[in-house]
Amino acid sequence: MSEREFDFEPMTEIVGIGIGKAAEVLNTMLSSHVKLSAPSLAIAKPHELEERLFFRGAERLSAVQMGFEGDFDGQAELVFASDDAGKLVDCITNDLPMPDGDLDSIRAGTLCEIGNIVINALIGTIVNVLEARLDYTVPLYTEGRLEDFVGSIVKEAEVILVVRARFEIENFSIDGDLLVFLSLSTFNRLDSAVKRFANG
Amino acid sequence: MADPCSVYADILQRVPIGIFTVDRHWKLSFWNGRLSEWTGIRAEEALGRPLGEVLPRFVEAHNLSRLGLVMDGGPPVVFSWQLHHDLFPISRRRRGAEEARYTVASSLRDGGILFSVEDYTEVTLLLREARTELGRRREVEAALQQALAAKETVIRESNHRIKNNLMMVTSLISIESDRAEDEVSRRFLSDLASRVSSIGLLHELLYSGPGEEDPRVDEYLEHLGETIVRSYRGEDGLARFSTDIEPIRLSARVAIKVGMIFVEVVTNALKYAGSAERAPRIAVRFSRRASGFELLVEDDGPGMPPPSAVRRDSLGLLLLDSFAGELGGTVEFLPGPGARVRVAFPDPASRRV
Repeated sequence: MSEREFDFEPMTEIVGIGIGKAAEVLNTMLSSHVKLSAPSLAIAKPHELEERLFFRGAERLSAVQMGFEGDFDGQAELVFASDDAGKLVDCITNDLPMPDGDLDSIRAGTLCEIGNIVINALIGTIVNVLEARLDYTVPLYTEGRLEDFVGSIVKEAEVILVVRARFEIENFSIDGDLLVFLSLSTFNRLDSAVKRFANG
Repeated sequence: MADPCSVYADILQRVPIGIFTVDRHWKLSFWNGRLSEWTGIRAEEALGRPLGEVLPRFVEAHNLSRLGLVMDGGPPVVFSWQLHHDLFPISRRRRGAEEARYTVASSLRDGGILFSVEDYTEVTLLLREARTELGRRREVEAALQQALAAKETVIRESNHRIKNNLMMVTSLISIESDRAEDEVSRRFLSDLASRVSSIGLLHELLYSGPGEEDPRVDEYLEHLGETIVRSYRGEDGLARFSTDIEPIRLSARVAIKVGMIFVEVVTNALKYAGSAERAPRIAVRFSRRASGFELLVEDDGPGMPPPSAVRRDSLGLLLLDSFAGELGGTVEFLPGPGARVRVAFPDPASRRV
């Protein structure tokens, strides 16, 4: 299915529900108020992925990954330019920036939890819509280049949902990309289920 | 054959991460050794008790809502140290740092939740120490760079002042030379001006260079040769002066002696090889030899007088012998045509450019 044929409205609604849940969890946990939104949604074929990404051109990326298998298989990743990931953690924890700007293990753990909340909310919503049963891998934090994160999964995936995730905290606004790698059959099932859901 | 369940339980007891489980009713069903070590709570004190009694932070509303989804088979939930640093009751301080842990709660296939707890304290401490050490080294390096730059500035400034003072002395001697009433005094003062000027020129090279300590002998001698020729033969340079000098760096201490030798030999050639009507040809070669260095100055004049007629007690020759001797070298007057003077001295640890 090409982007031109795809009806974005029902999927945008589902993504909005997932992002809303994630914001709710973050705000019950944190002292600072986090506004979370998904200003854009795209579907991409593997070879189109790079040009759809917000962080394209960033030298170093930070990502939280979680794989799933069961009624359907795939992987979800929340990816930031590493500098932005560091800023996000600093804003959320009101911490002072680290001298060299790197994420150490503690701050990587924090980013992993933020990513875990966002990914769980979106995947949880999709699973509910599809009425599916899945097993999940433990969330993993990694740093590197885009090909380090998506090198193997992008070969297996046929469709990638690309959701721009925007975190707004006080005066800061930090964008990342939430990627969901799916097979074409899973994507088609999801598309049908989402349309049914939207039609009530 | 050992019961697989007891084997796995034994393994989980010994792994270097904290592990505990709760059953469907939120009661603790497993508690490993590492967790006992970290929290001070023994397995027999924890097992069978509700999670909220042993680790109350886990059942606070915002955490329980997330764990509820895991209990229902949802995706794993992460509890990071920065956002949940008080999940465990005992927080010992290790080398001044609060213990840092990272917990993941995953759904168990048969119901219940598995909690795995990783300790980041050591990694965090090592990172903190490495950063502190890096910062300290950067500060030391910056201070050293600053001190080095200051030292170079002082040396340059000092060379600049020495050069200016020597140029002033040279000018004063030259004025006296012009005012001298007899030729002998004029020659004496002119030679003295060249000698002082050669030292001033070296200091000029030292302060105007790129900050390296050792001057290039080719730049020094070529510059010096031009100055002496101008002084003796006027601005029109009525002398055919050629040089073939290898680009070698010598320490300032050695270069100044080579410069003084050069002044004596070239001045001598200018005095005797030409006349008011005839421009002399003077060729200078400075090269590396197997045994050290060699300075060879040749002219097309009448040549040196026979050895028996050479006055070894003249000031020029005394200085030549003296500086060559200080370098551990020798002075030779070679057969003509013209005058040919060779000064050889051993390598005083020089380096090539």
